[in-house]
Amino acid sequence: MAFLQEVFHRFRGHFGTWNETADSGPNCAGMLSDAIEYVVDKTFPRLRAIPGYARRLKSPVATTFRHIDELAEGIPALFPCSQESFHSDPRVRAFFVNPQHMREVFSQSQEVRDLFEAHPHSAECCVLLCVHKEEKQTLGTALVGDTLRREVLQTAVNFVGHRVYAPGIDEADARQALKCCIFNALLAHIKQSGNNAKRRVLDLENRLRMLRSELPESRWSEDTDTRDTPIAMQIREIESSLAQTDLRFLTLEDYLHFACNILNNPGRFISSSVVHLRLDQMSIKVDDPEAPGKDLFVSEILITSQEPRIAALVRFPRSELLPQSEITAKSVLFLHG
Amino acid sequence: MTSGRDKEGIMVALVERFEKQRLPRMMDIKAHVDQGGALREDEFAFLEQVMEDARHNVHELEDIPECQHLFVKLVRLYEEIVGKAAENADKL
Repeated sequence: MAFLQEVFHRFRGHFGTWNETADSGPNCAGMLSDAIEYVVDKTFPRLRAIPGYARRLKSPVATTFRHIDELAEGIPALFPCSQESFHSDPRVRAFFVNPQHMREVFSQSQEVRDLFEAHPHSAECCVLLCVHKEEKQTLGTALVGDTLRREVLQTAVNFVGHRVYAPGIDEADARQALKCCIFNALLAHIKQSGNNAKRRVLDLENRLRMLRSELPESRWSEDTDTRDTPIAMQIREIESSLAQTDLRFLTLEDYLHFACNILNNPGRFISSSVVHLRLDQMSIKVDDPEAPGKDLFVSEILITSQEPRIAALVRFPRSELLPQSEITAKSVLFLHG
Repeated sequence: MTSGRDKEGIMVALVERFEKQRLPRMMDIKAHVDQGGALREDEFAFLEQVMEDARHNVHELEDIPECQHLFVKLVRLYEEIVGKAAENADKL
């Protein structure tokens, strides 16, 4: 992670020419080589057997770094998460149940505690906060015109699964942490989907073999009556699936092609968008722009096939860190009732 | 669809090509990586060609057990060679 942070720190906003040797000094070229090795380590280490694998991965790896750099730089500036901002900032109010919940989320992070310990003079830390947005249909009471109505269908918005990532002492640190998270998630996706695809093809091939053994070749090829039997139809279906699968994952070349295809097109796997929500005090969606409510603009990040996550760069003050004893007592209570 | 007799003929030709041409070259490449060498461009291209042909042929001759057996042996040998070559590349 430290290496990735260093790369994102040094080339922030300047990844455009990273893979063009003429525009890069020897150190830059060295870092790109190290970045390629990092990618190979985290995906398919056996790619190293391919002569010239590093040359072929150069441009795809640089493309991915550039895309992630631009995406993370587009995430809005940090906002404070504190007791005070809970009452003034609709984002903080929406993300947490109450100020105590907010303090617990940050205080439970060992990384946050370690950072404050390592930087005794820092009054606050900057972190990447990730949450999942849940929307649930409920029946509630609403003011429709001048009339109070019961059992009105409403959409309640909840933010759950709070995760605090890689705290730093300033905004640049937090932004780098976000870039590293995204980069590692993409590499994990390459590895996992490659392995899954291989398994899928092997399963199809095994099923095909079994079905063929149930249908003697003479009947399959000569007797037209058997061509429409359930087994024959299944065979045709699987053969067609296999023919459409261009990724067979038999050779190293297949794996390299697969990895390059993703790294060359990172926008197809990682994207971010701004989500606009208008919520009332109870976190109920408000559709009417004239009705009382607060507007929220939050960044939603979509990484591969994972659930989209709301990501925010936030500041958390040291003064609101809960004592370790309080956090431990809550954990014990949770585990033992 | 290829008839049974045609398949048999193809199988014989494939086995002969494998034993006389491809297997010896693969064994040479294996000896090279076993001695700590990395795969050269021509060696890698040859291995990929062998595997590409095998991938094609194994479907055509799927119901011939000898063909399946040969394919499994080939994949094992390929895996051994590239695994060792990757190890060597790590050390270089």
